[in-house]
This record gives sequence, C-alpha cells and structure tokens, in this order.
Amino acid sequence: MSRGRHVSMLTEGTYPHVQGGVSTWCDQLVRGMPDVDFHVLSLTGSGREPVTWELPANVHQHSVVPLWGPADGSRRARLRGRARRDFLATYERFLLSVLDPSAGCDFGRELFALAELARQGRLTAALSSEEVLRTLTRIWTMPHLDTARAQPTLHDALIATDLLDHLLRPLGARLPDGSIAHAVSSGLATLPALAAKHFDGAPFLLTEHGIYLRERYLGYRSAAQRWPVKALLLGFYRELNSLGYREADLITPCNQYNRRWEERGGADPERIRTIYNGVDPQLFPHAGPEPETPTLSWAGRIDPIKDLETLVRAYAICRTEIPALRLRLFGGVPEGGEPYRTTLEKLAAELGVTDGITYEGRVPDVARAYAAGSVVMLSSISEGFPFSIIEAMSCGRTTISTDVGGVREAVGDTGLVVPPREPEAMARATLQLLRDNERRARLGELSRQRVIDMFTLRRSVEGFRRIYEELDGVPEPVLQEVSSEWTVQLRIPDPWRAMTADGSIW
Amino acid sequence: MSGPLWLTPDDRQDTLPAIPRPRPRWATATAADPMDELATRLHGLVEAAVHPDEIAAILESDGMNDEHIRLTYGRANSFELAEDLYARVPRGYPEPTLPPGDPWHVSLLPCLLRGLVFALPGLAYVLGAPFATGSAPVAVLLASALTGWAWNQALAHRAYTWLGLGDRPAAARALLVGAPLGALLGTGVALAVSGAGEGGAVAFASVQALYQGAATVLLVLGRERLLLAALAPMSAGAVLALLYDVPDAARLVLLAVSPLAVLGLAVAELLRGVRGGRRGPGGPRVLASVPYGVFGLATGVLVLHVALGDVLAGGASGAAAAPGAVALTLSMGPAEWLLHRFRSGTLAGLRSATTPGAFRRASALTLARCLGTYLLVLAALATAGTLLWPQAEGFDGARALGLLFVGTLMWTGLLLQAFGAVAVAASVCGAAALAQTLAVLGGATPSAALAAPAGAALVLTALACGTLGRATAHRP
Repeated sequence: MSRGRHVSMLTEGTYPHVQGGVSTWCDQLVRGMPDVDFHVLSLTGSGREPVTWELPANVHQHSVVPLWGPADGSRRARLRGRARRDFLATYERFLLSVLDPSAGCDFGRELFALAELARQGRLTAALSSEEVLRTLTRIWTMPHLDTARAQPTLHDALIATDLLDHLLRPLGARLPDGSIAHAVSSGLATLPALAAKHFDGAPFLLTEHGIYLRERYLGYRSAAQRWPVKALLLGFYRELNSLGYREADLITPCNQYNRRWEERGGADPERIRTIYNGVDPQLFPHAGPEPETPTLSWAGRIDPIKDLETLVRAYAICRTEIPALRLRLFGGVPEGGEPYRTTLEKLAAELGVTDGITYEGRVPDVARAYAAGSVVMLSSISEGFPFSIIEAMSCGRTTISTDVGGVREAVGDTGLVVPPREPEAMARATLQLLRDNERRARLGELSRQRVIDMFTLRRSVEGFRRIYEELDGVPEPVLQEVSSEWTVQLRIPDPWRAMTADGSIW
Repeated sequence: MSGPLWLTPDDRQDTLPAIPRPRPRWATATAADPMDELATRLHGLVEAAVHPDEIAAILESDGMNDEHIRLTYGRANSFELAEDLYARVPRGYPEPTLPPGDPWHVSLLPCLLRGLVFALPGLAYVLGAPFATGSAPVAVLLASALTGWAWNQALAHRAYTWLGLGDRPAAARALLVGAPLGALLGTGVALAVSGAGEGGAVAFASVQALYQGAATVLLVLGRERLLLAALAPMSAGAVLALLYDVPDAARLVLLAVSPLAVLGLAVAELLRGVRGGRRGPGGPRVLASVPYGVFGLATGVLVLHVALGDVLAGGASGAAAAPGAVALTLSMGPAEWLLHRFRSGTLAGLRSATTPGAFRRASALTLARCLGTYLLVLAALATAGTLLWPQAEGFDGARALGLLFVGTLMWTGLLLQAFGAVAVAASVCGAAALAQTLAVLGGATPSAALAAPAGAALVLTALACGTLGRATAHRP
C-alpha cells in the first residue's frame, strides 16, 4: 500500500453538513490532496442532516454516525452472567475515573473496555439496564464527592445515563483498515480514532481549530440540567479531551494559542505542531482601491460568538467622529439565529445608527466583501485562526480585530489588535486607522505580503501531506512534484462560489 | 470554530455565559484587592463551576488574556487565576435557571374533544339502522370496522413515528399510501364476509372504511377540530332521527355528507402535507407498527364483547349493552388526559426520588390514582348512559363489571404502549380477546366469559406496575 494515501477524516457537526470555518478547512484539505483517498466520518445529530458540501472524487466514502439516531444493535441484547458483572464493574470504574480523581481509576482503560462492547453493538443495551442507573446513583452520592452535596435525583441519573449513551455512540464506529485516523476536532470525534488506534494500531492525528473543551464549558452554562449532570458530562468531556491529547501521535493546533489548553490537558509539547490555516492568494487577490465612503466591513456568521454587539457599539462611537462612516455586515444568519440579529437591530436603533448599518446577507464572492471596506473588522470573543482575517489580509486590507485565539499570530504587525468586548478600545483603534490614509495603505500591503509569506493554502496543505506521510512511516519529508497549476484544483470547485448555487455560503 | 453543540436535539442555540458588568478596566485603583473584586463579581459563575478550567474558559471568553492576568492579579495565567477563584468561592450547586418544565402537561378540553370525535361516528348507526336488517349485515359491518380499526392503529403509529423524527412530509406520505390501502382492506373484508343480497351493507362498510382512514389522517396530523366540524351535520341528523321520523332519502344524504367532507379535508391535508419533503435516509421499520395493529384489534374485539354482549352467541339484543360501548368511546378523551397525568406524576416522582425504592412507590401510587380516576369516569359515563337510554335495562352487574375490566385493559394497555411496551399490551389483550371470544362461542354464561378479561386486567395492571416502577422505563 502506498504511504500516507488513506486517511479517515473525523468531524463533529461540521464538514460536510454545515458551513463554517472548520468545514472550509476540511474542504480545502481534501481538495488539496487529490492523490489521497479520504474516508469522511461525520458525527451528526439525527443522521438525517443533508450533505451541503460537494464531495470531491477522492472522498471515496462518507459515513455518518448520528448521536441521536436509533441505536446500533438492540436494547434487548442484554448482557448476562459474568459479562454483565464485568460490564458493571467497568462502568463503575469508568464513572469513578470521571467523578472521583482520588479513586485512581484510569479513564482510558475503562473507555476501551466499553469500546469493545460498542464494537459488538451492545453498549446501548448494556447502558439501558436498571443496574447501570443504580451504579451511577451509588457512585455520585458517595459522601466525599461534590455531586453528593448537589443531591442528585433519579431523574438526574436517567438524563446523565442517556446523554452518556448518546455521546458514546461514535465509540463503535470502525475506520477502514490501514488508514490514518485524522480527527479534526477534539472530543467526540476522537472516539473512533482512539478505538482505531487501540485495537488496530492506526496512526492518530488530532487537529484543533477552536478549543473543544473550552467551548463545552461555555456552551454548557445555560443548559437545563442540574449540577450533578453537568459535573458528570463536563467531567467526561474533560477526561476524553485529555485522553485524546495523550494518545494522539501528533496534535496540530491551528495556532500557538491553543497549545496552552493542550498542554494543560496533558499533551506532550514535543508532539504539538502548529499548522496555520491558509488561503489561496489567487482566489483572494488584491482588492484595489478602497471605497469612496469610509466603510467598516465584516464577514462571517451572524452569531453571538462573533460579539457583533461590540462591533455595533464601536461603530456608533466612530460615527460621532466620522458621520459618513458605514458598517457593512456580510454573512447569513444561521438557523435559529434570528433572535440575535433582532438584538443587534434593537441595539443599533438605541444607539441611533441604524441608517449606517447594512446587512448584506450571503454574497457569492467573499473577496468583494473585504474590498467593500476601508478596513476589515473582527469582534469575536473566541476564534481559532479566522479565515476572515487572513482572507482580508490576502486582499490587501488591513484589519482591526479582537485579541482572541490565534488572531494576534495571524495579524502580526499588519493590523491593530484590541481586547475583546471593549467597544471603546475598538473604536479608538478604528479612528486611528481611518484618519491615517498612508498608514492604512502601508498596513494593507504588509498584510498581503504576510499571507503570501506565511499563510498560503499550499503551505498549509503541504504541511498536512508531510504529516500523513510521517505518520504512515515515511521517515524523511518527501518533496512532492506539484504542478504549477496546482491551484486549479481549488479554483474549479471553489468552496465559496460552489456553495452559492443554493445560497448557503457560511 | 468547532461545530454546534449537539448536546440534545433541541438545544442547538448558541449560548454564552452572561458575565456580570460593568467590568472595570483591568486594574482599577479603587479596588483594594483585585482578586476580591473579581471573586465577588463572578461569584455566581464560580460557585456553579464544576472544575477550575470552567472558570478559565469564562475568564478567557471575557477577554482576559495572560498578560492582563499577570499585571492585574499576579497569577501566571488564566488557569492559575481560575484555580485560585475555584478554591476561594465555595461550591453553590445552583438549580438550573430554567424552571423544570412539564412536557406532559396538556389541557383537558382538546382531549375531551378527541374522545367526542371517537364517539360521534357511532351516531351513523342510528341513521343507518333502517338500512340494516337482520343479524348478518352486523357481522359485515363489524368485520370491516375491526379490520379498519386495527390497520389504522398501526398506520397512525407509523405516521406518528415520522412526526417524532420531525419529518412531516414523510408522515403525510405514509398516510397517503396507508389510508387508501386500509379502506380497500376494510371493503375487501366486508365483501368476503357478506352473503347474497347484502350489497347495501358492503357499501356502508366501504364508506365506513374510507371514513376510518380519512379520520386517522386528520387525527394524526392534529386536525381534530376540522374533523369535528365535518362530523357536525351527521351528528345533528342522528339526534333529529332519534326524535322525529326522518325520510330515508334525507338519512342517506346526511350519512354521505359527513364522510365525504372528512374525506375531502383529509385529501387536501395530505396533498398539502407531502409537498416540499425530500426523501431522506433511514426511517422507522414497517414491522415495528404491527404490534400496534394487534393491540388495536384485540381491544376492538374486547369492546365488541362489552357492546354487543351475547349478540354474537345469538342471545338478547345488543341495545342492552350499548351504554357500555358509548361510555368506552367517550372515555377515550379522559383516558388520553390521564395518560399524560401519569407521565407528569412519574416525572415529578423521578425528580424528587433519590432511591429506586422511593420511585417505585411514587410510580405505583400515581398508577393507582390515574387508573382509579379513569374507572370512575367510565362508571359514571355508563351510569349516565343507562339512565338516559330507556332500552338499556339489561345493563346489569355482570355487564358493568365487564366494562370495568375492559376499561382497565384498554387504559393500562395504552399506558404500556405509550412506554414502548406495546408487545406486552398486545399479547395480554390479544389473549384475553381470544379467550373471551372462544368462551362466548362455546356457550359460556356472560359471567363465566368475563373470567378472561378479569384475569387479563389483573395481569396487565401488575405488569404495568412492575414495568413502570423502574426508573429506566421513563428514559427521556
């Protein structure tokens, strides 16, 4: 078998079902290596989500593991006798490894024992017994645990067991023999990879864009479950996250910033290698002259994590100094995100700046969104290595962005970086740049040069090609003959353009 | 940047912690100890945290980076600061901000309405009585009605499963195929059972089968108010026919108008429903709906025994037992409501119980309360019927007892069915129906024939108590 030529790409809630940064990245990677066979395994909700990305020919298989779909196997395939006793003991140690650090149980060992059952399609059945519920009730009411003080009820035990059952569903998924397991996020997507490595010796590569565990912590905050359920579930995510960090042969964050959490989670610094996201400078060419009216441009999903409230407030402050200033927001509202857009509109009305803000919606050519601005803005409170920033930079526009995730690494000294959630600071920086035409132009040129030097798509994809070969046992980096027309690969099914046919960019 | 948090299917809204404001600009000269200030400001979030890293995540999402943390708080990074805060603030275990909802809460009125919708078609027999003479056409109508009833129970289950998957077009497609098939089947059975000269009865049975399918469509798609409106002319006509002498032609028109209206509404609803849907992968298995059909058939037979008494064995007039049948159909409304009450009651039990034993007791108590209420309602309805129905003096103790047994079987069976234990419900009710039929055909006295439903009612109640006393039966 040729080396580094078979890759199983594991995604959760992103490619190829949903638009967004991670999906764009996956699509770029797959299209950038037409000679590598990909098997895409996506974790989804019900399993009935449509595929919204056109899969290229080298994706020879796409399978779906629905977390909330019907169970594999049957609930009736109950364990009996010794198998039942062994399972209950395993499950008890599994719970202890999550809830009671003092018990000294090894999460990985117990997880792999559960994986054996999952691979036989018997885990859901095993988890549905009354004894399983009693085990949890007994463990989390042990007096020395915090969970006991939160007085878990039987309802909590049911909810927690059910959630665990669903979250463990990917554990039974198998990857094709001889492929590299490449999880493109931490957490649940690593479950099949962990099992493949443990049982079949598959090489395991872990790429992190956002910081999975951090997002779980933030996302869980307003959930409707009681404290003991939250403690168990987040404990599970934490242990799984750490296991992934420890077991991965290589971890490739998309920025240096992520390393903090990875090392905190137990990743060996030697095995962390940052590979930045890339952009094709030909697809995002120099944008030419700035618009005549001073304009702030923003591109992305209208979503709370983008903290557009800060942007709108900063814009309102700038407007008092530069009355002609406009703010153009390019991008769609995701399903269920309409209330957030309403919040923004109300805020703009309160601040009296409604007339200066336009919602451009999805646009066919994102490069034009960057060209539409005198500067390009980013106000997010959490980012990995945002495409909107490096794309804007590639278009020769300077940026004003919040200091989150890998933003500072991307921007360097070619734009201004301000603290997040601080409209005044963002407004000050914006006014500085808007009032200094010469500096703005210079930073724009530097931005494009920085992308060409450091963040090209080609560089990013080649980085992964080398890693695939390395993981498959090729000792030295092999220089690939790459055709000079290499970007043709990307231009034909350009992800941005391709998606506009059904209007579903982002 | 990673995907949406698919923690639960309904929980896909992005949510961020609301961090108390105003946040002082990092180091403020006024705060004596910045750590104290921070601990006070974030108190609610810190006391609810399950791990120091949760606080680190919150701090970072608030825009604090390590540089600021070093300058202001003298800690190396967000993790160290978070650990400090976690140790400083005792855990508080706050309850979720959202009050625990009761997903099983339903109002009584729509349930009563549905019960009425089940009962109203019975009035067709009042209008149709002059056309059916002798005993043979009764068999034709019954065979067809039972077939349709069983078929539509299974069909409704399949459509409801699609609705549960959030795929309304697929549910409509299932109904579009299933309902006409059921009507054909009902007509076929009527034809097979009928003898010479019973064409009228077959035609009536055919209309009845069509009606059953169309009504199933409207009920499953949640259009019971439309159904009720369509049934109004026939119901009014039947009441009129009880009081006055209505000519045959008028009876026929009244008999035809309502089913035609129901049919038209159902067709319109289906044609609208199937639009816009794309056939997705996966879906419920057809076989999974079969036990629901069997349960429907079994309960149908049991109700017939109550309704017709010994008519099948060639005994007294069925009119004696009519109040029982009417009471059973009318009681379907309160029955549905009580099923929801049971769900609510056991959910409350789960939320308060901390041991399996405590829950078992709570569940048994709720079961007793709901089943008791149902039987009281059933008895009250039957009594009212006997008082209003002058010909029903034959509704004696044995019949009343039989009614309560069948009521127990039906309600408990529906309860088990709602909890997915349809196989249990179908087999116990099926056995009871078979045994009672054999007993009646074998010439057993009415009281002796009751042994089967009585035993079955006992068994099913015990099974329900045992099954639903387990917390795992109430898995979300």
